[in-house]
Amino acid sequence: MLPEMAAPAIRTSGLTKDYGGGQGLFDLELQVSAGESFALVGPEGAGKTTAVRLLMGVIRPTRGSAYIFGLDCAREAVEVKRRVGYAPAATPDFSGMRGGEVVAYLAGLRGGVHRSRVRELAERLDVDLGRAHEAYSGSDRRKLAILLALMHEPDLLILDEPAKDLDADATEELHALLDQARSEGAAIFLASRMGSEIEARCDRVGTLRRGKLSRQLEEQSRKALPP
Amino acid sequence: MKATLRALRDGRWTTVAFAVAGFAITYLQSLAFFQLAGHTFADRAAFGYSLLLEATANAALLPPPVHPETIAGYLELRAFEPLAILFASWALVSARARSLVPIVPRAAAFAVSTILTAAAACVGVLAGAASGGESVSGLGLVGAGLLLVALALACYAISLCAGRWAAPVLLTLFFFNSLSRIFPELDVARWLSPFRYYELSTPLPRGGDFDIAGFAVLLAIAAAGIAVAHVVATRRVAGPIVLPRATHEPSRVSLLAIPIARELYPRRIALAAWCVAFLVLGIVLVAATRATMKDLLALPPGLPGLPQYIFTFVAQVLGQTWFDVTLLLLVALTFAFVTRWADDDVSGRVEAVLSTPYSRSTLVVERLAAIAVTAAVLAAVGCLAVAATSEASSLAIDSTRLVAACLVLTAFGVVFAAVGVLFASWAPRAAPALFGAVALAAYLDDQIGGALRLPGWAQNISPFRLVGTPLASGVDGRSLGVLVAIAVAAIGSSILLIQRRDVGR
Repeated sequence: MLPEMAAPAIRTSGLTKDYGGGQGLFDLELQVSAGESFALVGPEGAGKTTAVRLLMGVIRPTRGSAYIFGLDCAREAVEVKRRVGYAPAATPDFSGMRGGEVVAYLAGLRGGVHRSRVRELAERLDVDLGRAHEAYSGSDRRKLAILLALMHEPDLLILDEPAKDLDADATEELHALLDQARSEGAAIFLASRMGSEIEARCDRVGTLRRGKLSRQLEEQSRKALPP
Repeated sequence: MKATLRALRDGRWTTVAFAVAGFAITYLQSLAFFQLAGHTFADRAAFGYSLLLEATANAALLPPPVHPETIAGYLELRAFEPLAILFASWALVSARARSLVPIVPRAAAFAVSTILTAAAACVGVLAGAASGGESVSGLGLVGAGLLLVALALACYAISLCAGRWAAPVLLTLFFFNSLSRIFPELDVARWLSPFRYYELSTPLPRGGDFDIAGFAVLLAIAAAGIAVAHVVATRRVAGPIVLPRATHEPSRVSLLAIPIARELYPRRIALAAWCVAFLVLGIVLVAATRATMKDLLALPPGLPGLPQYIFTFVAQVLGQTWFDVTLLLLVALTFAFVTRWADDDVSGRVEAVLSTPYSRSTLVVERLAAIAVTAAVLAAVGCLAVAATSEASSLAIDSTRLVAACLVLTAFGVVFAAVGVLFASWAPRAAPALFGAVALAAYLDDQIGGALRLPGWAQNISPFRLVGTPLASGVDGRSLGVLVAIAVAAIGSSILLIQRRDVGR
């Protein structure tokens, strides 16, 4: 077994992003094991998206560190991204390109993405890749973002508000896709509003308030969840 | 009203940047006038005559000046004509920028921004003239400001209607007007051009006038164009009645997987338009050069020294027209790229790209490479057009120097690209304004740096100066080296800066 295979999927130590005025994320201590699903929940402005963006190396921490599979999120960002699938809370705008071109562009940057996998995901999520991205509804954009996060079959999924804007059918398909990823050994890190259905399906839930992790519910059993 | 205020807030830094640019152009040109024109009647008459000769050689680009020996006439030529082009470019970029604000309030916000900028330019005139103990007509100044605003709004409306073809359409309309000064065949077409209606008035210099009908036509073009764009946009939002069959297949465009090509692919139509523009520019400016020197070419070819004189004359005129315009177009091209990069950061594209195994430094290098390739292709297209047209018109041009010009144009494009990449890496939201400020400063440094008595090193660092006159005197290796050094320093700094900054919204 390679050393990084033994490393936790996510480990943060004193991870802080201080925007001033009490805004940001403060001293986040977190560990998510490989194959585990973890939901970071909290009200709007609690710092969930900041935590996600720090893990993805999109923003730089004020202090502290974050590791994904033992790789430093800031210094080894390229290697980290090979193993991570990411869907941001604010879906990107790719005006001027068709959905299929967005997929081809980002798959080209990533490499090793199979067309059959993209086709399967597009069919399951029912996202039309032939339409111009600017003509996509909020739901279509969210589905495309999920497709982009899953297309390379990552070892870790980091999803920020993945069910936002989705209708009931698409939400159900998202749950099925996440269950499938779990069964194939992927770890899942979700950021979500409190009380969402998706939170209830995770192994553990951490609650974030005013940038601080206030509590973690350990070993929340999926079996105990309502059907 | 709320939407207009939002659009104003979104574009506030651009407005500030253009207002500063407007003030700087008129104020610095006023200072330059007092240094260049002298103070005696004879000095000023000689200066005015030299400007008249220069304008005659550049008739394909600029209208004939009115009383260029006076500060008002000089500013009309050297400040308000460039400002007209600057306002038109601003209108083009603003109309093409993505925004959630509907068209009508966005146009209203643009109108407010242009009024503020025109006012700043007028204040620059007053301050500059006062510094030399002279004055200009207040009424004329208001007229000049209003004309700028009306031209900008007309160009904005045309750009809205033309969509992705806005740049070539505006360029064509500009040349319909300017080339009609040389080719009478274009007399009819010039009336399609908003620049023609702008040019009908010369409100600033003594003896000039304000053409109310021309001004009204500009406003009518603006109102009609904005109304049409509004109707089209409203219908587009409603969407087609029958949706085409959905596809779940990813695109098969292989270019999207190739470095540099994937950066250029989304802009392919705009780049094709740029290629056409460079091609047409090369052809028409050589044809215009031939037309301006038809008397010279009619002289008996056996006259001693005539072939060499014609050879030098052609190189100088093409240097002042085709080469200089190509430099400005390359800056405009880079500005368009920088604006897009700023938008990519805000719209989440950069975040999406960086969520793949793609490093920040690769992003910087690929952006630079994309413009470098584009600049090289456009320079080559322009040079080929010049070579072919001059050959067909029996105008002798040294092919080695033309190749040198192509090389220098590419280096110039790379330098500005590196500066654009630097600002986009450091502060993407402010990048267009910062880039515009640097480009303007470099241009003014080259044009009036000597008159303003800037130190020698400051005058010699402007890329506009460093490119030299390759058609007339070849390439200066040292200047080319400085250009490369600036590009390397800018790109190195970009790689360092982008590592440290937070990406996205």
